[in-house]
Amino acid sequence: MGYRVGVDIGGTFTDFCVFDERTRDLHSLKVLSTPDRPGTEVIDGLAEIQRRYNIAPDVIGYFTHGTTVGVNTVIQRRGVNLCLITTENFEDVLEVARLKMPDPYDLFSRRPPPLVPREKVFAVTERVLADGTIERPVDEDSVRRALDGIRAVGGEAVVVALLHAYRTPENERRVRDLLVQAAPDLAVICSSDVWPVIREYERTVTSVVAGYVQPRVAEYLTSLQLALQRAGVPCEPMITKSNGGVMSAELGKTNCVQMLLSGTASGVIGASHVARLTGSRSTMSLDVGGTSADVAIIIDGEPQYGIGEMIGEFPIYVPTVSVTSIGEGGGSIAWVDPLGVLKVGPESAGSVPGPACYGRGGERPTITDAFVVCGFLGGAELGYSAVSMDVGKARQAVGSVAESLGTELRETAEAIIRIAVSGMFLEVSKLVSRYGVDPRDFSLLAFGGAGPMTACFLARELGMRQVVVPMTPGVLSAFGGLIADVKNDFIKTAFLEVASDNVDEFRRNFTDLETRAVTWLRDEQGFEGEARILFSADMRYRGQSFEIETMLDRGWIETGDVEAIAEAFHREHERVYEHADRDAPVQIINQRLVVAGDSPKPDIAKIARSSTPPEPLDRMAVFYDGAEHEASLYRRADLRAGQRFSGPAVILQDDCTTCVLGGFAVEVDPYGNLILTVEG
Amino acid sequence: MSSSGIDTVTLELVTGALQAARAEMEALIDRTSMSPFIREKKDYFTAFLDREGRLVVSTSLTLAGNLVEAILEQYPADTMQDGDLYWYNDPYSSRGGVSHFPDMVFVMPVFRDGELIAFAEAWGHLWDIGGMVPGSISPQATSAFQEGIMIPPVRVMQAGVLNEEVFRIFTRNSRFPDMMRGDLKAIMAACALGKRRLEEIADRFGVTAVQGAFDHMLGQSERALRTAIDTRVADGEYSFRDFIDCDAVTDQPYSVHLTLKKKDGRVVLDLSRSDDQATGPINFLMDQSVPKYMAGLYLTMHDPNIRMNAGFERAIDEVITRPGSLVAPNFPAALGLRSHTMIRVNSALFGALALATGGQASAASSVYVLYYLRGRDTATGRLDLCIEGLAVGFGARPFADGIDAVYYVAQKNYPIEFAEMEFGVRIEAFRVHTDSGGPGRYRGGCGIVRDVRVLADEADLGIRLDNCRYPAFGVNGGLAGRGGRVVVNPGTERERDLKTMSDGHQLKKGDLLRIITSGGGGWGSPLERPAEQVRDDVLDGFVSPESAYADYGVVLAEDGVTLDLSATEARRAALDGPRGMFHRDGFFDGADYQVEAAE
Repeated sequence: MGYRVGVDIGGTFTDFCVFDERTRDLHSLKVLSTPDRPGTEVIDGLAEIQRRYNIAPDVIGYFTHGTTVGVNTVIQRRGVNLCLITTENFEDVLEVARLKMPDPYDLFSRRPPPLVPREKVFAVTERVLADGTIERPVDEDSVRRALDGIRAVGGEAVVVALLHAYRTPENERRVRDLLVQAAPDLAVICSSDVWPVIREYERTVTSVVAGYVQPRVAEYLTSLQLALQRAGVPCEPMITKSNGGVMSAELGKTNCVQMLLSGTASGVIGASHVARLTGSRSTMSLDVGGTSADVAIIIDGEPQYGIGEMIGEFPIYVPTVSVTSIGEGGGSIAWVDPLGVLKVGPESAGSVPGPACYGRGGERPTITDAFVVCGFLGGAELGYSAVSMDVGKARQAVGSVAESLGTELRETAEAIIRIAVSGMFLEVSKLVSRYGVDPRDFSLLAFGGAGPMTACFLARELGMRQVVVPMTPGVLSAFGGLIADVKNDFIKTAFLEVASDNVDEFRRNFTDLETRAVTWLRDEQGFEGEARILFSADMRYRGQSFEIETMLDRGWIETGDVEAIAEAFHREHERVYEHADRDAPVQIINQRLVVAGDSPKPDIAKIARSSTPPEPLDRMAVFYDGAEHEASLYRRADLRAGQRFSGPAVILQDDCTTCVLGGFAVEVDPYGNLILTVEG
Repeated sequence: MSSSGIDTVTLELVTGALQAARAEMEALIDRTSMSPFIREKKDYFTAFLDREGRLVVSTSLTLAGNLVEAILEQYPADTMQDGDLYWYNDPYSSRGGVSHFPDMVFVMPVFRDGELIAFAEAWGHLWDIGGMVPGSISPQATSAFQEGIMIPPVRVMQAGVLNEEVFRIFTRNSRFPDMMRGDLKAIMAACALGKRRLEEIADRFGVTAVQGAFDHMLGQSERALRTAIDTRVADGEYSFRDFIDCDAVTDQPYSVHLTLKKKDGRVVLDLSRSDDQATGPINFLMDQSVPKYMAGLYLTMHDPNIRMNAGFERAIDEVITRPGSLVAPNFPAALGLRSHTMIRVNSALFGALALATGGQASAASSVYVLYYLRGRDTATGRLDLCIEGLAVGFGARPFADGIDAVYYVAQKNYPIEFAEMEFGVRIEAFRVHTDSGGPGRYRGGCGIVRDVRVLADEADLGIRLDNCRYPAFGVNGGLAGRGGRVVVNPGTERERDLKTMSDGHQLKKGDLLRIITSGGGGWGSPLERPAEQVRDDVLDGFVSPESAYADYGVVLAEDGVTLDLSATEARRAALDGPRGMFHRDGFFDGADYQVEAAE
């Protein structure tokens, strides 16, 4: 028996979640991040854990880690000196970027400069056709010329992304071999290895992001491995992935494109686990930090997956847990525009100077200050005593806005909250429409430093009837990493009509994918436990320009049951579009496979029960709906399973504060989660 | 309290909710439509209008105007019922409510407590609605009767009951009925969603608050545009004429002539001196709101709170057009390529604004390009329709370069790997059209080059590539963009240039079609562009070393990378600066070029 540790590095805080396999207790911890010395905070945190909980590094049997080092490399443009090789006559692929603009309706819009400027893009003469045949093998002279160019611009790494390589990667591999032969020091990455999917811009930009961050990420992971070894942690660290899984740090050094959005993804994995614990079928997770709020949809305990997530200004097209930013965080600033209209964000006070109430030099009112003025915050401490609340400064900051609006102080504060929440409402509306779901059927699972404070307001706006606040809302991402499966995705672009003639090829493709998946899991990861394999296909009616991912049964593949496969697509089409055309020919564009090795899920201990209602610590005045209300104050650690009470209430814990509005009833579930339900 | 008597927080909340609902309608169309035009090219529009039919919140597209007026004439408001859905695509019977036939407009009245409170509206561009060619739009059309089925305002759903017969008639007229059915369903569903959301908003905030918010938003846009015109445009008359290469049927160029008149607080846009209507399909049946929206969007762009809506219409007192002219054609003039004229209305307006503001307006943009390759397999007779939109360069802005390689409002193109899989073509090159962006302190955006190899046994080709004879003009010392070309089998003995706006070209298997698109105009003197930026443009392939030397006066050392600063300084001193407000085939000041070209 030992300890399992999950660590998630954010912009302000680094979160730790520790699971004691013997007592089944969960501990949490936050330390300040050290962006200039990445990795230091991990060691600091381990020392603090030893001090606080008497857990020595050498009893840590499992260690997972999420990091933003890759994303930051892109945002700060501190990646490697990268070159790109394309098929001749297609060197401008990154500049034309499928013609898309960040905001097509904004007359100020500009396309971001590519990570590889055009002068570092080189052509090779070769051609693969759409049907996968090699029309023209690689011209070796053209590779040599490209290499001369790469040398001339001092390229340290090169991405090779050739047309139709998703189908026939031989030409890309040939180019790579020629380059490696002539220049063994050059890092060469093939688009068909990064993510072999049709659409040349999407595949190229994904590979370019991968190539750009790879050396930095590898460097970071190496130093982390060393630091953990020196600290005496005996296990190989696991890295959380954008797909919600984990992989070994060693593998992360080459597959770094898969870990770029690991922090947000593991938050959703943590939320999914809580959703399963609480038995909620439809959950929307709400993660509100200092600068932004993110939501995700969780159905039957499973997150949703998507592609095309943004890394800084660039999309990557690997499977990623779908998370949507819906705007403002606790540090977003309220201001009055020239027409006298109150606005919130997008400017944020961040962690420095932070909200005015933090007393660190911030003077402009933030959402957090508005909560202070309304009386929800300020009665207790935040962030493991790292921050103390200065109510006077918050009132002063909000007062400046109230003055220019000519409104009363607390009404102004409430208006700030409502406008911030209305901005979130706007984005959530778009999101639910994209998924075609009704938020009123969902429960809202709130986490992050400011999530449990905002959740009741947003739930009311969206007509949601239930809010869930997990045990450790401040460190749910770290927790998510702790329980994530060892997981990888595989894809093969097929372009096959669903017909009995094609069954052999279809089956062969899946057999290949499965062989690779098993090799990855058993050999490369050395994973020995239970594993699941999921089959799916991106399908469409012939002529459509988009695909719908449809889950497939292994039996249909083995028996070649084309009717069942087509019917699965028709049903999925019907679900999304409310119609299906059972006479139309169906195509399979991509075949997909996901392999997931079950990581042992912490069997979290139930908390003590009590049948008597909790005794409030205090009563305090809070302001909302234009009036003052008396709220009961509770400490989270004092609450017992089965206890019930009604809002308005304020619940304090180490890393965040939960605001319960009137009209919500609170029940503590057996695992200590707070279940807030609309009364009546 | 705001002018409408509603507190500003409620206003902000209602406004936010309206925007959310409209965005939701878009997301629904995006998610559930079937044809690539709508999904990939984002050729759709959603809006809310008040009970008078005034546009309040919408997509920022300036293609069409008053969407509801024509419906209200046929079906007066007091005859409308909850659950009605109205439909049309006819620009003539809607007088420019929509501007060409493939755009299907759906409108749903919204009621609360028996009172009409608003309209929810959506349109989308359908892939094929019949007509003389697959895809319905042909550069060769000379009559609206060749451009597909015409639907005057009809009530396709009455109190929630759908008239299936109307749909059967419609889909019978399409070459791709299944896809059309799917797209229509998506657009109609978006309308219904908008209606539902408006009802919820009315229930939550009250009808009075919603009406107040509508009025407030209209007033806000009106005031913002009035203020912008007052502060930036001095009293006077400012005229500009811009040209379309030809109408695709005849070889004759056409011009849009716009005069901005401001006197004693009254603002008029007079387009009556524009040319007579064209034989070919470039006619733009323009609602009076269109140039007002264009002016409004441009002049209020600094304020993100200002939305395109009917408030802009009130800020400009009058738009004058002449019946039988290019921007007010008589039935049944063909309309399929109306964007060519629409974008010239925009550039003529920018030209007039440049004259009114001492050059503080964007240079001209080129019009997006489409080609229609209709391939046939001789053995099976199978039809293979390839319609690809191609990017052009946009005009430089007084504060930034023009956008390179962009299609109208940045709709996505087809990936090469997809086009090759689907369309019976092989794409052999796709790159930036070097030097097509007009040189300037801010450079015009560059067009592109696309090489398309025909794989079908035979194919006929229609193409619409404008701004070749009359490239996008430069402003305030910036030079004009460079025009494009269409060449078959370039570099071979069989090389031939095609007219860039034309149809009916016969191509056969193995032919290579090279389409080179036009760039945008530059803004400000190219001699003032920082030499480092010129060098970067050379390295990035947007500007050739020759143009760097000739137009920008920038000299690169022999390595082609390092700037030769002293040679650059000398070269720049030797070059003449700009000699006129505008540039195209030399500099001109408003009136000069028009005279020359009109002859």
